[in-house]
Amino acid sequence: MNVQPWINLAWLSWILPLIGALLTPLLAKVGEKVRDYGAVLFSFLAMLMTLQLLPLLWMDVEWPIHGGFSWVLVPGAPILGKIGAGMLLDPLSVIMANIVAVISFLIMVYSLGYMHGDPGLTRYWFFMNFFIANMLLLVLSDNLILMLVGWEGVGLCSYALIGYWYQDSKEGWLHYWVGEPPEAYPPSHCGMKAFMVTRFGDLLMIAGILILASTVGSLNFTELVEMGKNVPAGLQPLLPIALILILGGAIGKSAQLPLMEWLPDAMAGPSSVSALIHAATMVKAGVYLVARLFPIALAWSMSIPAALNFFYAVMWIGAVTAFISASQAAVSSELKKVLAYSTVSQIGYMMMALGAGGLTASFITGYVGSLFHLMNHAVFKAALFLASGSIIHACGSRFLRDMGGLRKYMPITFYSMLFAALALMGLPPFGGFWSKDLVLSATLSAGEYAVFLIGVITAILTAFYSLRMIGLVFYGSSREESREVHEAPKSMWTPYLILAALSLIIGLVAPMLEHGLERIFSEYLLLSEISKVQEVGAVSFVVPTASILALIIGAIPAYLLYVKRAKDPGEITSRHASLEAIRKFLFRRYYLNAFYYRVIAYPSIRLGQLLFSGFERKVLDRFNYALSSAACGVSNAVRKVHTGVLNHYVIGMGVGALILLLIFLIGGA
Amino acid sequence: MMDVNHLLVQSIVVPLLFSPIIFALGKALKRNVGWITLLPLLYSASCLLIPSYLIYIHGESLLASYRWAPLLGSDFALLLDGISAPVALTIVILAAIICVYSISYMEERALGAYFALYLLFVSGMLGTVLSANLAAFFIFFELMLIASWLLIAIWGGSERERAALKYFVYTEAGALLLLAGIASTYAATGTLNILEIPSKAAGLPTSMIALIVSLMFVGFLVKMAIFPFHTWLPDAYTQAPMPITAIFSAMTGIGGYAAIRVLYTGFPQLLKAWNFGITLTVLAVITMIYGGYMALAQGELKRLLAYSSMSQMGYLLLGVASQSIIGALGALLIYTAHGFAKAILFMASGLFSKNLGSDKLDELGGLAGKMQLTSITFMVGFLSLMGFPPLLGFWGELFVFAGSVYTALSGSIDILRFLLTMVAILSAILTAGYGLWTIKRILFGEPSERVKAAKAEPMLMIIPMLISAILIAVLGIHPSLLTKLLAALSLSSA
Repeated sequence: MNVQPWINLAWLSWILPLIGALLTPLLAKVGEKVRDYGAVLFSFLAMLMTLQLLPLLWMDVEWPIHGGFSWVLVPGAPILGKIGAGMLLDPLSVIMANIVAVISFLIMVYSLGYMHGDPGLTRYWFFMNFFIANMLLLVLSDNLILMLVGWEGVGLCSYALIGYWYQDSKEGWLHYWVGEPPEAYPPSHCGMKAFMVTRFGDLLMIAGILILASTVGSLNFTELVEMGKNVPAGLQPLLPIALILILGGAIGKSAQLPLMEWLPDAMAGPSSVSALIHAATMVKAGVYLVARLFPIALAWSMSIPAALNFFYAVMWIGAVTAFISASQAAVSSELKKVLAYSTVSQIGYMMMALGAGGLTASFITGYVGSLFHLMNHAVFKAALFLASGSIIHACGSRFLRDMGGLRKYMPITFYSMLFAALALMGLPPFGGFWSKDLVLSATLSAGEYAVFLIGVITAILTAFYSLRMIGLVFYGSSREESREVHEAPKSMWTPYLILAALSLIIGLVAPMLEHGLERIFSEYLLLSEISKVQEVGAVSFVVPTASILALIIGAIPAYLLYVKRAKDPGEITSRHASLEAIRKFLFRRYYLNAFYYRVIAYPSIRLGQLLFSGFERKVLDRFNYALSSAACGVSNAVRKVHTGVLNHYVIGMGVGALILLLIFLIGGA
Repeated sequence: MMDVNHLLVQSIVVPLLFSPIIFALGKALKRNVGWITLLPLLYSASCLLIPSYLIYIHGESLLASYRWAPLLGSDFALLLDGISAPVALTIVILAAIICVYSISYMEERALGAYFALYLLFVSGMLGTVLSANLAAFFIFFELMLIASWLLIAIWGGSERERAALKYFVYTEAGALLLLAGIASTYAATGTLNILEIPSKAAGLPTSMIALIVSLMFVGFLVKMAIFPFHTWLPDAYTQAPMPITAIFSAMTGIGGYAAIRVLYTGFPQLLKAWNFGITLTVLAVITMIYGGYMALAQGELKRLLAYSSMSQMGYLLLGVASQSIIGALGALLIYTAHGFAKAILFMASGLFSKNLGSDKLDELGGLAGKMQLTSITFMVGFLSLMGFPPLLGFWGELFVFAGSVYTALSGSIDILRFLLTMVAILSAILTAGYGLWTIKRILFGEPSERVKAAKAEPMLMIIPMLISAILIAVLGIHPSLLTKLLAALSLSSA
């Protein structure tokens, strides 16, 4: 089979939106409408390209398909002598690229209405299309360096779009600031924070990549498995270290512990940006990378057992993150921040599944579970964010306390959000139910019961905060001002209605989809002979029961408190000091955010200032001047000899001659 | 095929000869004398581009020798190879770009003399880079020093004389040690030609070579403002007139270039000396981190950028210290990337002080909406500095770190070097820290009164910045233009 057409499609799918981004300033010169629709058109073209790749999944092809050219040539270099630029098509990249492109297109359509009339739209469209291009590049690259280009590119777009309203004006307090004092931040601060934190993860990743380059000698995904086996024994212990360092990049991008604090504050950006970058696509890059490294780490672990630590790290980081953020979502006072914490938590699930998967022989459950959950989450979380954008638009506030009773005024938004929230909670038959089932099964079949338990507790919290959010936004009495509220325009609700419906449709066909994914991936990962029949009997009944029970346990209190409004939760916490203490602890994000500011950010600046005033100025510079004044002193002292009196000179000469004579005499003797 | 042999000498001599002409024309032409100054610079650039292209295509370096100082038994030789070509091109292109910026930036005061010295300065830098003869190298090194000293002392800021003296004394002290090193080289090997040294020094004991090279390296480290020899830099950078500060990054980097030339071409035996490499690595890492923290503490853009330059020289030195071809390549890429990026940032800083009357960070803010082109190029400059792909700075950092990791891991694991490298990689977060924080403080937020009253961006100052930004992007997207030149590097150090 001629693979070149497929490779070309892969190239086009990211180059087209890149062209779109570069054309934006020019199109803006023609007219605003041209610019806006032009931008959407290019994202549509990107989707068109990736959709054409989908048939590959059903065709009898030999994975992986890849091709490219030598990009950076360094003749004579021992490593990195030939850095390639190539596209890699395999089930993972094809599926990811389609998730990215389809959701991107829907969000671009939504942006037409949502961002209408904003003065900075040229910048907005540029960075949106630039993002889509970089994200697709990240997903389709065949080596780590090229992937890094996309990886950093999406980081830049995230930075620029979080800080989109960079004027940080006080009037925007209710719209695009984040948090409440003492943790309230303006957009440009949030953008910077996001870039800094993810950049730190990226540096870890670069360190890991360079170790791989030096030991394995290749950075190509298709070669790492084989060439890793040739690494001399002395250097083998470095391979797991490299994997874990690269995981650092994934953790930063996917906002997992301990690099999670940037994502909740990233909500300062427009809701469309939150939906696209900070829910559906970019934050999944970390999961994608772990999935990409999965077969490599698995293969290496055959000869280097320490490589399994990679999976343990992935699993535990995911599990702890899932729990911590879910608990934070339960007390958040801002609509979008609930969703942000939830995103972090759900990505934790995906990580957990991948990690647990790598620890069992039947790894396919965890692998497919993670990807399936990624797909589901992309769909329902994008729907939730887009809908929340409409709600914040309508209410004029980002705070949940300014909402309430909206279901009468915004019925379409209500049902979309409800469906998506049910999918998030994992109610059968929504998509979320099936993928969560796989995630939890993977932990059980790995024999990690503690992780399983954390997963179930997280599911309880998820049900609680999802229903709490729905209750606070749509139920209860509506406020005076919200009587004026109307449903969002059609161009806005269409995309999220589609996405919400999709979350149900995926659920209805889930068993088929699951089976298809398992078939594709077990064939691709060449381990189809490992049957997963034996453990299915035991697991299949435990997990759904546990997950439905969790849903009920979490949903009932949320229903009573926030939907029926049987009791005022504020009153309950005010009566119990311990509950209030817990609420505050969760609300302040376990004080992790404060820790970063007080122990890392501010002290670094302070250290710089202290070094500058205390060392650079006081010690080094003073040494300079001491040296120069000493030199002056010496020459001043010597200058006194030059008295200008002839007699003194004659005496001096005489003394000198005498000394010389003495030297000769003693030397001669 | 055309004879390219004499192009190298022309690239140095033509600006040198134009210098008195410019001086004479200064009175009559006033500001416009800058345009005449551009001519020899463009000529030099084309003199260098042609043979560089030949290196790129055929991988052959160009050596032009002239009879000179027969008593010392040495010829005046100019060498354009994979090491010197990117450096020399960076210098001459930057010089042309900044010359245009000077025309609009400089105040009307003895501009004839200014541009005349500017040409001397540039030809000093070019001569230093192209000389294969250590004596000639030293002479050009001093020419570069004297010209730049005068440029600071005459056209500098309010404390120019003190800063210029400090700069002169420091660099001259380093230069004298350099001279001692060169003299010892001649005494030990009987040659001053860098290409002949490896064969003649082959039998010498390593300790002796280490001593000689160390003497020379002190001179280079002072030039690069490596900790603790850096204290001249912040003063000289802040007091120098802005265009000169903008081209200073190319000058300080010459210390790094010279270090590569002496170590990789002249004394490759030392590439295996662990002590030597690890000492330089330690100095490099300290400089990277210390410079970064100093930058973080500054409230004035020009001084912040000065400390950032110091930190970047640490990266460059780390590449030299890696004792690997890949690290040396990284250092050369950093040289070019940093030269252009820092030029953008200093030119922007000049634009701010010129247009807004201040470059204090807390007096600026919200510029993004007001000066869009400046803002975009400013961000490109900092992103490249941060090592953002695919800008050129990314490749520099990547190869520098790669060289260091590779050396630490080739053969057996060199734990100390490995850990130092890891610290170096992670400390790159400091660059992101001061970079992004500066961007935020200058470009974002609500515009201050000062910013609201800003005039439009003058095109003559924007265009040089734009050209630099485009070069950083183009070379970053197609880095083979520079990395392929390395073919010559690997040959000459083999």
